[in-house]
Amino acid sequence: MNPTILKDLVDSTLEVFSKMVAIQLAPNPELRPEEDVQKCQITGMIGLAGKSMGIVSVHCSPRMGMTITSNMLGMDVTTLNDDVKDAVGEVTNMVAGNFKTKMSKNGKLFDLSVPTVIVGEKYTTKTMTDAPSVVIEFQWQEEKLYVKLNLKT
Amino acid sequence: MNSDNVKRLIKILAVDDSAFMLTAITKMIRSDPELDVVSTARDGYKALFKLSQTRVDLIIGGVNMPDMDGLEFVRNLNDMKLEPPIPIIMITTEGTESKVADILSFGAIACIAKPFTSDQLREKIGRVFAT
Repeated sequence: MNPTILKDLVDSTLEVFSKMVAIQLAPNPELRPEEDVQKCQITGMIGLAGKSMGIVSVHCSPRMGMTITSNMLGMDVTTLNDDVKDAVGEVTNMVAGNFKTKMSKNGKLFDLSVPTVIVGEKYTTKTMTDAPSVVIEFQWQEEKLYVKLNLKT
Repeated sequence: MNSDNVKRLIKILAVDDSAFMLTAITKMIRSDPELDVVSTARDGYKALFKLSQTRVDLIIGGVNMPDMDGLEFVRNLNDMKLEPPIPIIMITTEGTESKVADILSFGAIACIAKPFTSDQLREKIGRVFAT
């Protein structure tokens, strides 16, 4: 995948977490295998449709999801409740929106769907098999968060 | 916010279809003691109803909402020709130039794209009342 696209996605994610979640994520420069995201129990997904099409998804553990929620709401969240699902959905929405803004400097490429959040212990997701897919790993303390992009241009 | 033009509490109506984001935005706004969210609404219709009951100094609202979205809400509010008019800052997920221009053309006084910090939001509010 085009390195500029990857940079836009990394920058979009870092900005969202720095500004809205007060968390400084550290990106892993090495792309990760698809299997890594399957360790996570929370997934936020947004569809991209237009000249380019695909899916942006954010994957994290319940602990990371609760930390995101606590930071955004300014209160301790210690259970995997609806606020956590809303928080991960909103973060996914902002990452995809920010990514769209950066990608659209030379013209509109796609529109965004509303976010969908999946919570569970054993699930896999399958997207377009004919489109390139990358998984970027971010680290915060002991926690990992993954952003996956499946994009057909 | 310490502008000399802002001495009293600024009352704000926050509008967003997400209860979660309403709470998050309220937290950001209330980090400034000169600002308060006195009312919230989950879509444009409910916001118009709230405005018939509560006078506010500023509206901060999202663009994408069910039933009546943010742009339609701005247009309806402008059609009401309130005196004095209530300024509206729109929050958008997509900060492209065309999107921002579109939002401003509907009558919003300012637009802020996610992601933003509390400081950036308060600065945007301060500019509205400094003019």
